[in-house]
Amino acid sequence: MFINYKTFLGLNFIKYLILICVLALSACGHSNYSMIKSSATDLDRHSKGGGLFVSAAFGPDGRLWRVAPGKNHVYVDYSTDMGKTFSSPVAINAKSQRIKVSGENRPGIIVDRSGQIYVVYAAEGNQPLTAYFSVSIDKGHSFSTPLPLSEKASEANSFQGRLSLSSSGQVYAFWHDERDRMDWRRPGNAIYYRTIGGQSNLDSTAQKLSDTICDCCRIAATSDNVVEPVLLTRFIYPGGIRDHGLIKIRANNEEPISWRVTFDEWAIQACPEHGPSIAISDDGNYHIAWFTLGGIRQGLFYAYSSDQGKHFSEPLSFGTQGKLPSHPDIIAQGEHVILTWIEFDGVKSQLLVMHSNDGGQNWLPAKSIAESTAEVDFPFLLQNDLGTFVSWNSKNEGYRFIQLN
Amino acid sequence: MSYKKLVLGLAFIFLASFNIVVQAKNPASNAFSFGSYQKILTENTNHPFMLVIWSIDCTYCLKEMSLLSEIHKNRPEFKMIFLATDDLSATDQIQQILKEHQLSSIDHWVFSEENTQRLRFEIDPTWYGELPRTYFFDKAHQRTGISGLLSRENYEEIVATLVK
Repeated sequence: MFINYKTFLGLNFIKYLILICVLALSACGHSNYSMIKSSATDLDRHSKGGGLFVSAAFGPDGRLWRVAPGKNHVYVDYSTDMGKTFSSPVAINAKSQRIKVSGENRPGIIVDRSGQIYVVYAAEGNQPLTAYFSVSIDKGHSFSTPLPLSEKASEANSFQGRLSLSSSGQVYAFWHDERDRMDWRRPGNAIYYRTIGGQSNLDSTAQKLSDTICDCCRIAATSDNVVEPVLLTRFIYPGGIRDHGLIKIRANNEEPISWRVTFDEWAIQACPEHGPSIAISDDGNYHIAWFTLGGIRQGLFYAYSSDQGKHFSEPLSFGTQGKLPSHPDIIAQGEHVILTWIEFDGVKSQLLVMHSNDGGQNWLPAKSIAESTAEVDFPFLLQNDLGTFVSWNSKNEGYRFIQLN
Repeated sequence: MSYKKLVLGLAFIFLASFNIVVQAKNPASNAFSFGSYQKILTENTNHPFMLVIWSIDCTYCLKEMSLLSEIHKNRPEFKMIFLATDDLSATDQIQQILKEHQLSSIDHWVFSEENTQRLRFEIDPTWYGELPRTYFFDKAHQRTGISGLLSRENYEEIVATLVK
């Protein structure tokens, strides 16, 4: 009887407790915190494309390789049908990390000529931001344990990793590094770099490439047909001017050189979060695209150089005024130059593409080739023997890999 | 599972739920969604104020916090509203930063829509998202938007003009 009474009381108590919990959670569901959501980088919520800020690269076997950030892991998968379907993703980091990602500070992927796959990404380490790298030498079945790119990662933030494959086949990793910031009142980071070999080894020591880089704009890197990578990045020039400069790494241990190439006079003490883009055509001409809100010009601009970046053409404005044109990417093959970027009209984002068939001197009208009413990623151009493609992710529509005619 | 464990487990869920409800009532954080900008304007009708848009990942924004804290202390009658462009999962970090700068009592909002581009556009269709972004509103809510850090003199001058 006593047991039955206790059981009866217990069951009712449990019922009431459950009811109170449900009511409490229900009340919570109508509060401001009802919208508590996982970050934009929760892979499960974006099964078509992982987290929003993805990167892609072709391998020598024609596969399209993609890296996507999750909340605690970074994943790599591949497509053998030009982005229609992807393999099961492989996690790069076995150990859970707090992945740090944004449009500018995104994971990167590159595949070298031997098929080795290189990945960089940022995660919380001893410092709030640490740039990690990992390599796969078995065609993406497994990846090496991620290691910091910077040997001083435990002392200073490192982030905005960027991979580049030089024309000689060497893989370079560049990143923003705060190790030299002794006076925090003075703005600007340094870029450091090193070469990465196979077998997950860093086969060089980190070297400083440049100072006074705008903190929050990603580095653009490409290779010219000589040997070493060429970078375009937003500098902080005297007077707090955030315009762009080229940086060239030189062979035979010669000091890197850099010089200013855009003159928009954007004086601002802020995080613009608009990195530039650069392409070098096989005819040796340089093509650049960038965003500015400078005193001289505002919006998206394009220019080309026929003398390895010493001089550039008069900046050409592109994009629709009033639709926030932003985040351009550029690619060039011979005289064929292609620009892509995004615009937003208050309701939907559009993916724009524009072609030039004479090395950037004249441009065909821009065309919108895709759109989304959800949050969108930046677009990126990729090329292989089959053509040119735009890699574009969005929250609702998922990942799209669009071939251009 | 034993009866005791079950009750303890449910009691824990109950207390955890209660804690969430208490947090939800914390006026220090408001979810900024579509329509929130208009709500802020309506709530401050006929009052000048300053809307400071920032992010925990924006180094320039963090540099600005101490100065804004001082301005708030010197001009407590001038309303400051903070809006973080991070998402609600960063609420703890946001509140920690505000607490460190004695700004916890400030009316504070956090982006709570997935489409942050639309939220930004609703505030200002000409704003590209650069941070910090500060809007100064006069009594009639004529506004001036400025991107980047301002000097102490700039702030003091603008605030003095607005509270006249």
